[in-house]
Amino acid sequence: MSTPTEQHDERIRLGLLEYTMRHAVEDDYARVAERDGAEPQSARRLGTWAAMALLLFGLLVVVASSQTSRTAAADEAGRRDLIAQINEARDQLGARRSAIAELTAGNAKLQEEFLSGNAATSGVRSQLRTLTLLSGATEVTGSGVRLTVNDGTPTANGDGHVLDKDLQRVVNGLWEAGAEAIAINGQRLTGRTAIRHAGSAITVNYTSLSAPYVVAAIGNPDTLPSRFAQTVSGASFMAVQKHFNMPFQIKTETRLRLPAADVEALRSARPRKDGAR
Amino acid sequence: MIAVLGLIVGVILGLVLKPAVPLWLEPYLPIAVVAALDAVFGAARAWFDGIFSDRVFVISFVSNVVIAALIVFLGDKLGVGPQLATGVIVVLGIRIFSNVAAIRRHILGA
Repeated sequence: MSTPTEQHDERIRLGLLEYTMRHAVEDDYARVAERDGAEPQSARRLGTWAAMALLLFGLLVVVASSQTSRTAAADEAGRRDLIAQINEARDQLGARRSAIAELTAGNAKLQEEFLSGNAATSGVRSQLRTLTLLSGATEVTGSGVRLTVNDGTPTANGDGHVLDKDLQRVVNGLWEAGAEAIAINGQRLTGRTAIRHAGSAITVNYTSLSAPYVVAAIGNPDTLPSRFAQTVSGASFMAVQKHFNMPFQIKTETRLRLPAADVEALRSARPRKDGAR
Repeated sequence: MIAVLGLIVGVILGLVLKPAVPLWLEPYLPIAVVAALDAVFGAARAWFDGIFSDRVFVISFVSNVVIAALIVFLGDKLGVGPQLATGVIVVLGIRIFSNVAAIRRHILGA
């Protein structure tokens, strides 16, 4: 057998993989056989120690495989458990949502009954109606315009996507032109609405929208379009729209229906004590 | 004969006793099995070559298992456990393949 220096040379010459392949069997077998000068026949007898090692080997294999299958079973059980929990929570959420809708409807009905009961509260009732209308907490219908804008073609100045800025300009122009209620793709705008970019999508009321964007505005359909074009925001939007060749149309509608916004309760804001408006 | 007996007894012991593996040892078990497999095939080849030695087999078996587990353990501590395990499997896999090829040559004469 090769001496250690020869072995070292060989390792350098062959490279790791080749060397590993050639010396797959332990060199010690050859070395011990050489040293002891044992005849091949006696080398074929397996002793107790070898049997013990093989016993250990069998034990190891069985334990490892049973352990692996046991772990897999436990993982599977855990996964099923999680799925069941998710479904349960989802059902619960659905049930609670419908309970909320029911209670809200009941609330509105009771409020209506209570306020329409006598003359003293009828003033409160009409004020409530005005406020819910203004705050966007109720569905509204009326005539107005429907404005549709889609992503344009890329130019040197940008890729032509409709940005949050563009929608903000549209909305600001419409408010200025006399719009009374606005919704974008079914998201009603309120005093707490934000129109902004989140990633590549525009979010309104923290809901992601995608093109085409339909802006429905209730207002005087005769004056809204022309006044919109005259406002600073409207004009700058039209310039952007023209530059990127964004498909754009504005149509008057005799009957628009805007959904109610999900108006959250105010937790910190309080009216002033003296009741000034 | 005694070797086959040992193997069978080991398998039966494992099936009957179903020893619970402590959690900290669990990740090193598969690597230990591969290392043991390498030692066993190496021994089989040596046996066919007529240079088998009881002592060398037992020592190589135990040291293979311990060192393989130790390498992976160390790798886990250093945060490169999976990579080191892959390295160990590759080297042992190559050895197993070439040993099996040698055994095949002995048995089939080809």
